[in-house]
Amino acid sequence: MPPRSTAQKRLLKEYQQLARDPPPGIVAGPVSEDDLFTWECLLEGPTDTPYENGIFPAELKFPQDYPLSPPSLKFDPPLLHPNIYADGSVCISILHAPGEDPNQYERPEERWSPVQSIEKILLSVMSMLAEPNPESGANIDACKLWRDDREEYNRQIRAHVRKTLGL
Amino acid sequence: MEDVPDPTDFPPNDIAPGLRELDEALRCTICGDLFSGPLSVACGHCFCSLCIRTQLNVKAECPLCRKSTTEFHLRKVQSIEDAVQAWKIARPYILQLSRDEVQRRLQFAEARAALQDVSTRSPKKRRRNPSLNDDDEVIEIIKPTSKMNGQRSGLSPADSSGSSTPQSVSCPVCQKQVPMAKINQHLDDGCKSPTPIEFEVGSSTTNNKGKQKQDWQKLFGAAESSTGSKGKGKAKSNSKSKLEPSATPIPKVAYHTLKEKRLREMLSDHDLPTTGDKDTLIRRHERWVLVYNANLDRNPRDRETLEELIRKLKKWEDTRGGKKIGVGDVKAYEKANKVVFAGLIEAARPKKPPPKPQQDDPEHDNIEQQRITEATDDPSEIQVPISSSPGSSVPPVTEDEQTGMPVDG
Repeated sequence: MPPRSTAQKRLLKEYQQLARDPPPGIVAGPVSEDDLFTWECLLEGPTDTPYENGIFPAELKFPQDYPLSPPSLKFDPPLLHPNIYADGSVCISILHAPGEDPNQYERPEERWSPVQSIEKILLSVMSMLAEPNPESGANIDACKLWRDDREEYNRQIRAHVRKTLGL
Repeated sequence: MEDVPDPTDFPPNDIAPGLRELDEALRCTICGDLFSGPLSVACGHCFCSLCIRTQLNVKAECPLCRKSTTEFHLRKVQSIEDAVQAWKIARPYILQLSRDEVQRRLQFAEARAALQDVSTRSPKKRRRNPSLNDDDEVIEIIKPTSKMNGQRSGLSPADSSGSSTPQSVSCPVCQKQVPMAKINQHLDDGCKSPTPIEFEVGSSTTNNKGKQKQDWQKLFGAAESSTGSKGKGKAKSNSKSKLEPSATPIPKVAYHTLKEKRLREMLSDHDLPTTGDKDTLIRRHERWVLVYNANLDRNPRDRETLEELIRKLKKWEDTRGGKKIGVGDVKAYEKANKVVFAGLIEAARPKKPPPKPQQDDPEHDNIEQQRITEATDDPSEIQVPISSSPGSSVPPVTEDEQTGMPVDG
């Protein structure tokens, strides 16, 4: 096997740590040994939220210069959430590199830095599910629904959860 | 999936307190490896030389605490480098010891369970401490399984002090008699031989040992004669700079003021390829400065040869450095995509947000529109809205870094 690049070595290490010491509600790992730059994750919906009991698959894609640049995270199937685009891409500050601030609201200390980790990203996404950030809306319909008709918002999400669980 | 060394190799804190933290403290938080040429930044945090130098080119702040810092603040941390050097040697040994300890505890628990099954004397069961007195009893009971007996007598110091042969123990793996002081070494060597080996040379895996030896040889070779490095045959005239403590870092270059010809000269000064367009040449030289200077931050005996550095540079260029993510010829790009831009500007003009849901954030739209209309005046700005649009899979930092384009309009 050819020597691993920095990115590959770091991804392997993170995978090993996640496998040995998994945080609750998170499963993540590379899709195959040949492609360490694409990961599959399963996130559990946080309790006491409409996402509760749901298991949400998502895909992490890493750039070749990881950890210099952040990965991107996409829920598949897409998830109704103010901070998730209609195509499933997640919009949170930890996934944004410094210098790139599409919405100009992010505090620098929340942005990506090479010392962040996959575990921290996924934990942030979990807390984003629990507490949407309406300031940085990515899905305007979800934003409106969340702000104006919380009951309907909750109902739609619960319906989605039931559907994905095959109930 | 292959195994990579990391702090979780060690048992958790209840069994081996502090070992995970120690291993973690000696690792760079950017690459996750043990520090290579550790440098500290203004706030005191420490990173591998190459990691932090690369990162500072992206953003002049500490990746950990985000305090602003520049290349001028970088300081070599000799003590950490020495600690890493020693830890590299000690790590496999301590890892083995800690694993033995886990094993021993497991077997002790098993033995105690066996004792509880066999013995009817309840007071003994409650003894948790393997004190000398009831140790004898334990041995008596677990004697039938010879393997266990070997383990216990091999690994428990309390046991050997009371037993009849204090100086030699039987190896739990190969059952040979080995001097007690050498048992760990014997285990580390995979039971190859009971012949004594000097600890100082390399108590660890053969891999590490070989490397160490090599390093020493290099060091001694250099000390004996200045022509030592020429022994390799293909060594170039400047390849012994690897061992010259006086080698100086390459200063940073303001590339945009340079002509292509001068760039090629600078590259050939370091025996680097001079192929490619100006951008390629700049990126190549920029990376070379990083790799070269980072190499100088290492202890002389840990430094890589120039050939190795050049090989690494080539690999970097093959994987990502050579690929240009951004736009090279802005004018040509603008021409080729005129229709697309026109469409985008048209889409951004109306007051109501475009139908695409991901562009619906009103605030966001305003900014986007503003940027696009501004961009029509200045061709270099045109790619900005595209590259920084949310959800884009292109890593924009690299692009900004490489094209030198302004990000915010």
